[in-house]
Parts: sequence; C-alpha cells; structure tokens
Amino acid sequence: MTVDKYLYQKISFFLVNLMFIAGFTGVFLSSEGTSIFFEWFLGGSSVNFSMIFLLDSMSCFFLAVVLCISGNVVWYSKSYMALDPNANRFILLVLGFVASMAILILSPNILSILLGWDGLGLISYGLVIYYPSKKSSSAGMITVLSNRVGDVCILLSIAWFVSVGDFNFSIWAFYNNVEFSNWVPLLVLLAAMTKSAQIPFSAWLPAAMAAPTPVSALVHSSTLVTAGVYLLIRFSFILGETCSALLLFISIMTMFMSGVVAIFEYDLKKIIALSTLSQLGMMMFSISLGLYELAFFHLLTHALFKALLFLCAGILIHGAGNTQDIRSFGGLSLNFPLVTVCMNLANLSLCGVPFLAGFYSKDLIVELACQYSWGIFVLLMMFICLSLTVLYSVRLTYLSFVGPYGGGTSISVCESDYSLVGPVVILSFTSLVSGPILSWLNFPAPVLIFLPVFLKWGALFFVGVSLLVMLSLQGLTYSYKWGAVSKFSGLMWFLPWLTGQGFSMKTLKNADHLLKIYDQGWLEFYSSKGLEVVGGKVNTLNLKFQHSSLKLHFLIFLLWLFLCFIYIL
Amino acid sequence: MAYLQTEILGHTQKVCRLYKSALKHVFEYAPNRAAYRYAAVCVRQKFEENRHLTDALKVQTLIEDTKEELFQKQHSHPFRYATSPGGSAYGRELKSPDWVLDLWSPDEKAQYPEYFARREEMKKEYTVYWEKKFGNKAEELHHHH
Amino acid sequence: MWLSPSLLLMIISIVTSICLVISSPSLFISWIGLELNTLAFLPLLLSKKSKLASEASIKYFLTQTLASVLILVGGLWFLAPWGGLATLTLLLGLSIKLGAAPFHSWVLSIAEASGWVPLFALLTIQKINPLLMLWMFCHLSMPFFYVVVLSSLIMGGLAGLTQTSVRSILTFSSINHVGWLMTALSFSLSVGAYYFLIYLTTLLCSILIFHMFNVSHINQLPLLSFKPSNQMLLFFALLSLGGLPPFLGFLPKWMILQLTVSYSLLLVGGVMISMSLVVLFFYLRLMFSAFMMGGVNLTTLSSDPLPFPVYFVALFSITGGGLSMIYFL
Repeated sequence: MTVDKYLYQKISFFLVNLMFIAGFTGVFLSSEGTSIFFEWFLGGSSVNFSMIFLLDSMSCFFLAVVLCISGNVVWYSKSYMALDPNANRFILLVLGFVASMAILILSPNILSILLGWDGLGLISYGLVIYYPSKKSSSAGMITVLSNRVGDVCILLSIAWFVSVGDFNFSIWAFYNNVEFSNWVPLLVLLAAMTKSAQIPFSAWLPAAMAAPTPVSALVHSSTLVTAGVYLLIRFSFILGETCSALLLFISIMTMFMSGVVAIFEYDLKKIIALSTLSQLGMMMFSISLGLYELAFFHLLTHALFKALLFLCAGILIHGAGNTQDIRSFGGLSLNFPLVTVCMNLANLSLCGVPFLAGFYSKDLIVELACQYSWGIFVLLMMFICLSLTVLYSVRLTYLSFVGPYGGGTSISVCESDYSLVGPVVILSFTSLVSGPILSWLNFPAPVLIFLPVFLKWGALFFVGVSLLVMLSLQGLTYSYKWGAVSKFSGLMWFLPWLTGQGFSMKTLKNADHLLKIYDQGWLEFYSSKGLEVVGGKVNTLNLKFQHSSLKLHFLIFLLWLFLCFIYIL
Repeated sequence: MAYLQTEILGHTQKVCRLYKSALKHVFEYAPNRAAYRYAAVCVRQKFEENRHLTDALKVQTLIEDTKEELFQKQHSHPFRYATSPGGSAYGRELKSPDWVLDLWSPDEKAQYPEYFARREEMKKEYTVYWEKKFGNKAEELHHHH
Repeated sequence: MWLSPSLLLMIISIVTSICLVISSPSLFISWIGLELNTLAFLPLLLSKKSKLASEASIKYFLTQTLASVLILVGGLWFLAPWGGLATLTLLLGLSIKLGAAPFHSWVLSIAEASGWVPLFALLTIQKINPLLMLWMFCHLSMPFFYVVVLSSLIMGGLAGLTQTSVRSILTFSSINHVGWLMTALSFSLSVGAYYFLIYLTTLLCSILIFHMFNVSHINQLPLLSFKPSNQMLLFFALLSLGGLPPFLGFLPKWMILQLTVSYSLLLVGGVMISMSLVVLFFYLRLMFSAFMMGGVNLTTLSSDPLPFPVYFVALFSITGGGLSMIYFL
C-alpha cells in the first residue's frame, strides 16, 4: 500500500468544505423555514421501498457540527498518529465512520437508518480494536455487542414498520391516527439507550476509551453516542407517556451514576467519557420532559466542547508518554499553558458557567424543567447532577493542572506542533461562540420563563457551591475511609461486571453443561448417531432388494397390486 | 495456575517484595507527592520496627497478615505504568517473531533482495554452528535405523 | 456412432411417441405411444456393449411390458362397472413406468449399467409420457396417488444417503423429483411442465460435466484436477439441482410449495421441505468430497477446458437464464 503523504490534509480539507456547505444550507433552510426531500423510489407494492434524504435545518446543523469536529480531528490525528504504522487504515476507518453518521443523520427512513446505525457499530468496533492489545479487543467486544442489542431493536422495529406500509417515518409524524404498535416506541427507546449508553448498557462507553484519542474525540462527542439521542428526537412523535416516564428515570439514574463514578475515576480519558455519559443523560432527560429542541441544542454545543476536551486530553497523553492516569499528572499548567487554557474553557463550558457554550443549552433545560414543576425528586436529582458535573470537572482540572506535581514525566514540545494545537484552538473558538450563535439560529424568539427567585438562582448556586467545595477539597482523592462507596463507585456500580463476566459466566457454564449432556451426550446418541445406525441398516436391506433379481421386483409390484385390490374391494 | 509454586523465595526476597507492594499501595492512595513521601516513611517505619524479630512463627504470621491487609484495602484503580502489563498503552505495538520472515511469499521477499540473501547466509551459518554444538540429530536417527 | 441411421430412427421414434401421447384423445393411442417409446429406447440402452447393458435392457423391457399390460388392463376395466379399480390399475402401471417409489427398484440396476446419455434420457425424456397420462387420469385426491407421492419423496431422499455412485445418487434424486412432479401435475399442467423443464436443464448441466470428466463414483471426484472455474460450475449446477434458493432449481420448488400451502396439503409440503434438505445434503456431500476437503492433487493432468455448450447450458441452468422459459408457459 502506497502511503499518501497528504492523505490526512486532503480528507480534512474535504470534510471542512462539506461542513461549510452543510452549515450554510442549514442557515438558509432555517431562515426560510423549509426542508428538502430527496426521494429515490426503488419499488415495492404493499410496502414502499425508497431511498430518502431529508435536508432540514436540524439535519444540516448536526451534519455541520459533525463535519467540523471530524475535519479538526483528522487534522489533529495527522500528527497524533504520525508514528503509527497503520495510520492509513485509521484514517479510512474514520472517514467511513463519518460517512455512516452522515447517512444516519440525513435519512428519515428506518431502513437506511439501520444502514448508518450498523455502520457506526461496525466501524466503531474496528476503531476500538485499532491497537492490537488484549485490552482493546475485549473493550471492542463489549462495545460491539452492546451496540448489537440496539441493532436488533432497530431490525425488529423495521418488521413493525412493514405493517404500516412505509419505512419513511417522517411521513407518519403528520398523521395522528396511524396505529403504531406499542412495541415500536419501546424498541426505538431501547435502541437509543444502547447507542447512548444509558444505564444497563453504560459499560461500553468507558471501555471504548481503548481507542486512540482522536477517535474518542470524534466518537464520544458528536457521532456514535449522540446517534441514540438524535434517533429519539426524530422519533419524538411516537414516544408516549410510558416511554417518556421510563426514560426520565433511566436518564436521571445515568446522570447520577456517571457523575458519582467520574469522581472516583483516575483514568483521564475515562473521566471525560463519564462526563459525556452524564451529558447524554442530560439530553435524554430533556427528551423525556418533551424538550426535544433543547436536547438537540445541547447535543450540538456539547459535541463541540467535548471534542475540544478530548483533543486537549490527547495532547496531555501524548506529551506524558501515553500515560492516562491522573495520579502521574499534576502541575501541568507549567508545561502545557495553552492546552490548560483550552481545556479549562471546555471544562467550564461543560459545567455551565455563564456565557460559555454549555450555559446556553444547559441553563435552558434546567429552567424549563423547573418551570414545568416535575416534582421534588426530579428537580433535586437534576440539581445534584449539575453539581456532580462541576465536582468531577474541577477535580480533573485540579489534579492535572493546578495541584502539586504528581510524579510522572512529560515533554512540552507538543505545544509547538501546529497540527496538534491548531484544531484545539479552532474548537476552543467554536465552543466559545457556538452557544449564542446556535441559540439565535435555533430559537428565533426568546423562551419565556417564569420562575421564583430561589429556583432561578438554583442552578448558579449549585454550580458555584460545588466549585468552591471541590477547590477546598484540593481535588478529591479518596482514602480507606470511603470504604464500600469507593469500591462500588470505583467499579462503576458493577455495570461492567454485569454486562461482562456476570452475564456470560453463568451462561457459558450452563452452556458447557448442556453441550456435554445433550449435544455430545444422549441427544447425539439417540438422534443423529441413532439415525445413522438404524438408517444404515434399513438402507442395506433396501439395497438388497434393489440389486436382486427381476423376480423379486415383480413380486413386489404384484404384492402392491394385491394390496390395492384388497383396499378397493 | 496461581496455586502452583514455580519459584522458591528466600526470606529477604519475600520481605522486600512485600515492602515494594506496600509502597505501591500507598502511592495509589496518596493525593500528591508530599503525602506519598509521608506515607512511604510511615511504611518504612513499620517495617523497621519488626526488623530484628527472630521468632520464625511470628515473622511468618506478620507477613501473612500484612499481605491480607494489602489485599483487603486494595485500590479499585491500581496504578499501572502505561507500557507495563495492565497499563493503558500496553501491547499496542506488535512485534512479530523472527520466523515470520520465513513465511513471506517469494514476491514479497523479492522486494528486499539483499536482506533475504544475507538472511539465508546467516541461516546456513547458524545451522553449521548448531550441528557443531549439538550434533546432527537427523543424521543420527538415520544412522540408528 | 451417434449419428448412425439406426440411432436416428430410435430418437425420432421416441419423439414421435411423445407427440403421440401428447396429442392423443384416447387411452389406447396413448398406450401405443408408450409401447413405441419402450421399443425405441431399448437400442439406446444397448449402445454400450457389455453384459450389464444387455441385462439392463432385458430388465427394462420386462418391467415396461408388465407396466404396459397393467395400463392396458386398467383401460379395459374402464368398460367394466368398477371404474375405481380401473384408475387404480392404471396408476399402478404408470408408477412402475415412472419409477416412482414403491416401484422404483428396477431403475437402479438399469441406471448403474447405462451410459450417461441413456441415463439422462431415462431420467427425463422417458418420464414425459407416463407423466402426461398421469395428469390426464389421476389426482392427488386419490389415496393411492398420495401414497406414491409421499413414498417417492421419502424414498428418494433417504435411500440416496447411503449411495456412493454418482449414477445412483442422481437416480434417487430423480425419484424424489418424481414426487414433486406428480404433485405439480395434480395442480396444473403448466406448473408441472415448468418444473420438468427446469429439472431437465439442471440435470443436463451436471450430467454433461460428469460425462466430460467420466466420473461415476464419489471417490473419483477428489482425484480430478478441476480448474476452479469448472469446480464452481459443477458446484452451482448441483446446488441448483438440489434447489438452493438463489439458483434456478429453487424457483419451481417454491411455486409448488406455495401451491401446496395454499391448497393446505401440509403433510405433502412438510415432507417435501424436509426431504429436499436431505437431497441437498447428499449433493453437498458429493461436492465437499470433491472440492472442499483439502482438494488432493494426485494427478498432474491439466484438465481441458469444457466445451462452450457446457458453459452455455450451465449458465442457463444455474442462473435465472432459465427464467425466460416462463414466457413460453
């Protein structure tokens, strides 16, 4: 394979061009208030088969964000993967990933959504197992199998869509009286939960951090994990009350779990992955409250600053010689001043500090949730999760940048590598300005919110207090005193165990037992082996008749004739 | 196969390994470098206290107890260096063994003619060296029959 | 030898007999057609000069005569007051002629003794006449017809499992196909004709290839040095004969299965499906022994390329090229 020296630049340039096209189309469509359908009719009689692309402001903006991030990530990985022997495979996988995400975004057709959806699952597997280590291969397996559950759900819902006669679900959004089965919303919900790693399926998200860091930046900010959220936003018209209530509790639990677990995590990338998980919980939360547009808004802003966060983390890891444990970081602001600034920007944006990108979306979600007065449990959990976000973000910042030197070695030459720093700076700029710009584009009229003063100040209060708390704790590192809590949370509430060994060990043991007793035991003896013995004997007898004299043949014929006569008479 | 004893450890080695794992343990829990130094000194102090014990039974129980304590208090995220087993970057680079080169197809080998010519030479030399050192097994077998 | 005047005469007589049976309005004329057919086929069987061949021809002659007598008697009984007995005797005679299952024992020894071309004629062309008469006189509502269909399906499937000779395997599979054909004919003539034509082309393809390489036993297959393209050809031809979905052989089976289900003949349908699995299994075994199991290359003979007509027939029988036949029905 000949190596194209400029492959990365070409692909990056291509993606950024597409980004501008998609972005300006989005602006045009949202200002005109129209959407464009491309439909290619393929056939079908009772069921309509067609390939459809839907261009509306939502899909265009999402596509623009995905392309912006992927263009930057490709540029970044030119330098990050420079010493890797398989860098070409890497970049082609990334390109395939972006392509399947684009299919998923643009198609309002459950069949072609499956195409993109399956492509995402498959290519993410290829990216997670990019490094040939045992750890990556097990992480890849848990990723692909968890995602497979969602694929199966989509397949099943395709089967249900046959009964209504058209796979294009955006059509059904305009009809109120379509009889959808109760299963379709549930299946779609389950599929979205696996892709967005909601609670029973959360284990794969931190495990997938075995992939190279640029991939994490792409996969866990805007593409793979947000596919579930996007699917639910598109399917918002069939999510009934039951599904929303289910999703409400699951998303709150996911937010809470990931927040707590992130505080007890030491791996830099896993902390960021868990923060992604908590933000996904936030999006799911707003979907379950019916705030689909806000969920989409948060998806976009979150994608931008999360990609930035991952890229900064990649520079730190690169500089520190592939070390990801934050115990060996500390005081890195002296070595990486620029990265420190950008990463703090992303972190503060994640926390929802006013006038950064995260503030616009998160604050709206929180205030609207308050306004709809969803009961004390939901509100309290929401505020706790808000402060948990601040706690783990500040802990991360403190332990890696502010706190005393941790003991690892690091080199700061990465800061002078423009193809590493360039994307980081660009994404910092976007995560600064994307909040107001996207809110002006998405919400032409301001949202009217009436709240009592203490609720209005609630979000800011929780954020501020937890900021101070974490700073005063000097970046929590837990000790023996935490005991069971630390074990429980440090092992991610046993979710990896539940999806990994806990689930498979018992099954495999039973299967082994069954295999020995039935498949290789008496079932074999009496079915296939027994058939072989008996059938062999019968066939030998049969052959004797066939190869013997003509007299015997005729005797048999006459015997049959005789039998027939008896039957008739 | 952890229960199989594959090596014999002297007493000094046992204590030294225990000390090392205690230090690692302390490092995993320490919030910063200074705290770690303090905790490490404390560990050293504990080991020094029992340095001159002579009662074999007591020493044995002490070692076992310390091991048990370390096991009970183990960290949920043990610290691993990136390139050591269990670390984040462990096993990223595959090093294929030398004999894989012999499995290359002729047209692949033809891309590096000089290297493979030299390799064949070296293989022959090595065979000669091997037979000189250990004798020619194939010939011997043939001879016996 | 193939264009010798006597042989040409025999072939023309066979064709004439078929025309006679197709166009005759009366049972008696049909019977004459059957007799003509038998007499014309005998020299074909004898084209290979050997002891086995002459024995086979005598066997063939005697069985066909017995069957003809039964058919004639059955026809005469139509004049008598017990009509049920007449159709029964007729059916018995026709089944013997077809080599359908309880009366299939004579086909084997003849198939083993004959060359590839007579075998092909025996398995396909010789069945046209009795099948046509069957279509005229019998129906699946008759219990005995039912018995013959089911036992042909089962016998053709199961008894073929122990065979190692390629001729026997093809014969047993043809017994199985007779079960399908009889079912098809009891629905409509066009379905039956369609099935028969596709069966003919797929069988022609595989028999041509076996003929080219002179394979008559399963053990010979791994020793042949096939070119991969020829291997693929034989592989696909046999799969098509076995009725695996993407190939042409599946199409008529599908039609018949759909008909059996819509007429709710679930027993016949179920036996058909399960037995076609068995038939497919012994074809697959044939092919696995040939190509899959490591492919022993003992002979260094380079195989000649197959003649062009073989490729043509193969493509026709494997792919949907045969689908064009549907327009003629």
